Amino acid sequence: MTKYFGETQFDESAVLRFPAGLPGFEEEKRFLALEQPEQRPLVFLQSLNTPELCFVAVPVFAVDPGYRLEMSEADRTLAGFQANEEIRIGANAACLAILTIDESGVTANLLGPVVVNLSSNLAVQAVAPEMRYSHRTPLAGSALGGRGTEPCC
Amino acid sequence: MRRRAGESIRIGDDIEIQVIEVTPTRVTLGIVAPREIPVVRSEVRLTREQNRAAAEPPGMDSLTLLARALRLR
Repeated sequence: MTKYFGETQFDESAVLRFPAGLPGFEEEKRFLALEQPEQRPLVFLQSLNTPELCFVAVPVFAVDPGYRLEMSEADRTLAGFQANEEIRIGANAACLAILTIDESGVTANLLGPVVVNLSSNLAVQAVAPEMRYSHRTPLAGSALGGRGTEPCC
Repeated sequence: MRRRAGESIRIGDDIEIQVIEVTPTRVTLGIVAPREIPVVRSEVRLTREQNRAAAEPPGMDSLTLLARALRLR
């Protein structure tokens, strides 16, 4: 059961496994990444444990085309990357920024992106070892107003 | 309080903060604490609070509008 899409069929191989959960949601270890043509580029991270828990995310490059991923050793290990494995977004990894949408606007957490190891579907919310990015990066563009704001288009 | 590498600080009876290495740009700390006291970097705490806020997204109509605005960028 999902928050937005009712009953959804899925294959076990599609499940993203977060061995450590997410900060604040440590018990939530299994998610689906759902996409719909109408809502692209949004990615819905639906908890399989809690139907009403669904994060809304976007690929980090949709927020910052020059984004550079930095992961701690601990997070690399949690996501099942080999010690010397190069992590390339779009190749062996997906990297999503969770959005916060409230009255003041839309922000993306680029400090702690969700990194998925595409060869194992192990995932981690990788809070960067250095604070180069903000956990509340505003989405640029006046059309991206707060909840209920009509985009001008 | 001033400490050098190899020295430590005690907080109460159960918590010890060890200064392991000091370089011009970073300090390596070791922290000994009881299991029930979580030790996390401040950034992890920021992300935890942000996740709580993000866990209540708006309805699908708002999200469809947001997605459309993102595609037009």
